[in-house]
Amino acid sequence: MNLKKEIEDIKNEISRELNLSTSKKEIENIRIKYLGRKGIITQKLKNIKHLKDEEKPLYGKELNILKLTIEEEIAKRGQEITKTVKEEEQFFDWTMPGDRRWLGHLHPLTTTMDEIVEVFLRMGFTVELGPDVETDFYNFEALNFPKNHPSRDIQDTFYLENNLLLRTHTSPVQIRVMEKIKPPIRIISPGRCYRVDNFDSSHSPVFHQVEGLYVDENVSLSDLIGTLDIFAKAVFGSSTRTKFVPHFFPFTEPSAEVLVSCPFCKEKGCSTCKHTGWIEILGCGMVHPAVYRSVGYDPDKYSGFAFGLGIERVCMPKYGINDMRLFFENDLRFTKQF
Amino acid sequence: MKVSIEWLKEFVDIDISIDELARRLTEQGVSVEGVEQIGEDYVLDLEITPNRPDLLSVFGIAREIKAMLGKENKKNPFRITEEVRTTGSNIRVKIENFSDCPRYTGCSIENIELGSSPDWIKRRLEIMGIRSLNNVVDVTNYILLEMGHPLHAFDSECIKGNKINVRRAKEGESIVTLDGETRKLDSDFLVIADSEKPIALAGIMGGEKSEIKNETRNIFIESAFFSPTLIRKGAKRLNISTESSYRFERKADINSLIPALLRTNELIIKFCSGEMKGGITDIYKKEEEEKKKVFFSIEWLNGFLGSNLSRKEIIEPLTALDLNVKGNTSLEVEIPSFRRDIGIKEDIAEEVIRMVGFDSIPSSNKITFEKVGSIPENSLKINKIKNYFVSLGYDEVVNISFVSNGEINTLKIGKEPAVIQNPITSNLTHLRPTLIIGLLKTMKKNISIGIRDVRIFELGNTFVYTSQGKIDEPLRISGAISGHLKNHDWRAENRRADYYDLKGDIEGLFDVSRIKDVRFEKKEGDFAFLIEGSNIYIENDKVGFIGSLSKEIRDKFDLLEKVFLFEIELAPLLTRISFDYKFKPFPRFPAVLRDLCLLVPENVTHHQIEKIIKNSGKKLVEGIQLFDTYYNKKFSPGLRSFTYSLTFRSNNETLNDARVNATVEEILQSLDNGLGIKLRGEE
Repeated sequence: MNLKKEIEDIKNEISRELNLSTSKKEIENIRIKYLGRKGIITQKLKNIKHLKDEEKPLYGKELNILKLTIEEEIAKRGQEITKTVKEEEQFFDWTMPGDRRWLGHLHPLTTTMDEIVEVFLRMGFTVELGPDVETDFYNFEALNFPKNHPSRDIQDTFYLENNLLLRTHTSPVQIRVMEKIKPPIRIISPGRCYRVDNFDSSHSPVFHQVEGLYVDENVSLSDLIGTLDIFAKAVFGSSTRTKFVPHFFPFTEPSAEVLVSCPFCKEKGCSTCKHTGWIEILGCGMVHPAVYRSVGYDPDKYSGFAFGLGIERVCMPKYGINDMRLFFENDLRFTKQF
Repeated sequence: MKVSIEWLKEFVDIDISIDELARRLTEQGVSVEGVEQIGEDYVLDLEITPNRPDLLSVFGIAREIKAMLGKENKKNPFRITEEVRTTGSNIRVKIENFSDCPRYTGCSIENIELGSSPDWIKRRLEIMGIRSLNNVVDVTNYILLEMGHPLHAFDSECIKGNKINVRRAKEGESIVTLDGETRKLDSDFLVIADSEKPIALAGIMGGEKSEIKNETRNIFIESAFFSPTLIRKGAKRLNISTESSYRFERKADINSLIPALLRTNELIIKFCSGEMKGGITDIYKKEEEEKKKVFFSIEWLNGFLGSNLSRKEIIEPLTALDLNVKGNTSLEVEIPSFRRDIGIKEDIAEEVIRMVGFDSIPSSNKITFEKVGSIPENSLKINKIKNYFVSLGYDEVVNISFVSNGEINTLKIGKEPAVIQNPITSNLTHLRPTLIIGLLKTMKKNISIGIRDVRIFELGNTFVYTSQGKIDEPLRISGAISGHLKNHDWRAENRRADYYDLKGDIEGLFDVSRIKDVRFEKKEGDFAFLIEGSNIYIENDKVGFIGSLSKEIRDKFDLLEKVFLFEIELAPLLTRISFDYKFKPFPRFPAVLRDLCLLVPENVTHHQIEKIIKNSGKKLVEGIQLFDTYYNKKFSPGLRSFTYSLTFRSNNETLNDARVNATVEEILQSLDNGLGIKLRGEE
């Protein structure tokens, strides 16, 4: 008989028996069955002397290994049993809780960001990324924030050494892309932004944005309204309404803030919308000709729109989160809810 | 800015409710942040955007309301009925550089009676946030609020030599300003000086010495235009912002200097007595500039807005805003000097849209895009990595990018971190060079609320200086586990996480990334915060580390349990992950299993054994599984037992026993020769 197969069979059988065993007594019986004085292995070892000489060493070696392995397995199983179930307590109750693994959770900012990106991908926007550490040119000058101009006060900036700064919005990506390629351009740039703000329930020095840019011939304000209307309905539900309110941003003209009807109270007024019925989620406008000039586009040939929305600002009303600090405190009681 | 409704009504009839006024102003782009009732009066709190300095006054807001309601101004303080003769006052004014100060006007008033202002003036000032001081200063502030132009009153006795020189400060000069602070000056500051020294910081703040005092009888009123950038730079350097500097840096209206001066005179003479001495000084180097005009066509406007507005619908709101429009289909708009924000046709489009409302623009449904958007391949890979960790029960955390120098030093992370010049607090001064600090803080936070069993990861940018002095932003993933692996339930073996749990998760990451050549090598001590650590290599690139947090650091972060953590730089991983892979057919020939129970010297690692088995296995070794380690006192000292299960398979034939036996023999021989490893039972 094939030695290997024989040993393998014995091993398998022992494993099976050990797995079924639930008490120390049963394990002891298994031990006796195989390793006792008249046990199966013991017998086999005794029988070696009847083999041909050339078979003896291999047979002996393999059986000895088997014996050691079995001893270890038996010892292990013995420990397992004492740890888990006491002999007398075996019963079956199908209503007892199942054995649960811990689930992992993506951060709500990640899921919200992905969801927003997904909506714009379907509308033909391509994702472009850029660095967090920026220069004055990309973050301000090319976006029509002149040096020493009060418009810079809107975005109070963190500065690093060597005139570098932390981007206050992801708009620098728009400039970097426009410098490289000609219209038509339809991009969104998600990412992390920084402004000098202290933490409170609606501010954080670090926050996240998705910005969009669409430049082509004959792009109109009406297209902007249509695009953001579709976006709002996709994220907050098909009955969502949008309201555009004139505003000021240096890099767009005209500019607007966009409010969406409160997804909780349907414009009746509740604590989430501060009893106004509307929630401000983004800023937008038609790209300012000065921006085109800074990247070498002909402002008379092209027109387009840009928009920027805060991920936190979208995420908060969506999930009824009332304090922005919750995003960055990493209290796992928060994260595990998403 | 706060503005009183009662004061507004002096200039325009408001016949709608306060709530409706607030709503409509907001929809017109003058955002009302709040409404407050003070006695009989209401006060609007307005957010004025930096492009609209013309709205920084009661009259400016009234003009906006007038246009909104389609009414006329009841009166206009800027309208001058009599001809103004600028014959010069008794103070001689000189402007050193007209680009710093293109225009300076002023006049002297003598024999004033200093006292307190009438109550209604005090009240109006107070509502808008200005404290009443005396009747002279109150009048200048009153005009600032009413007309939006800053004025300044000097005590004439303190103007030495009866001379005013508008000039840059000299190195070493200083001035004590109205707030009692001594300001050291240099040539970046514009000052109003007399024949000796600075008596005011132009456009920012007056000097203490020349201020209006109880004994002041004769005064000089200044109404000037200062360079916006110069005022802004100066105010920024001194870190102050005054009602005056706020307006000058947003650009004053050069045509409002004389009207503001005349109205100030009128009120001073009315409330403080006194009489004008001499005439009005007006130093003005007038650039011959034509009245600013903007041209556009109705066709362009409707194309740009995607609207269908008629000529009338376009012209009416512009005219209501005091813009003069001419032309039929091609229009010409004359821009008054107080609307410095309008310069191009897009600005006109904004004025139109503000007035007609966004609701009159149809929502386009022509957003039919000819292509589907795409996402960078790296972003897809990153999503895959995140989802991998989530599937293993890790929670994603998001920390801000700022850490303290102390935290960096605690971990003794070698690379030079980037420093923030203007941090918000002293513990958020550096950009994170590693994600580990954030993870440790997250663990500390959660332990403090009673969550001890933690599995977390973070994926994000870190910041380090390159050797060229640039700031690099390597993307990293970092994770940590601590405490139990599962809930303590009725059945679970309540085991605590250890190094091998975490290592398994990392190996799995490389597995799903289809990255083969990964090594864990004992760390070389560059991360002092780790014990039982190892560096992680892909091929020859060191990509990260894994290990157990030292007790010392655990104590610093109040972490009671053992913590195992890793950090991996993603770039080398991302470049190697490929979505381009093919299905592999199942093997055609059966596998043969062999178990080897080895006695291994203590200093030999699993990795060494694995390598020898692979090399001497002649490509027949398909799998190497370490399935048991064992120690027994009966072993010779320094030995332990490793049991391996080897899978042999050939792609070309069914392996027979003889072939496998021969290969096993060769493997055993190599293990013995190379590492002194013997088969157990043969020692």
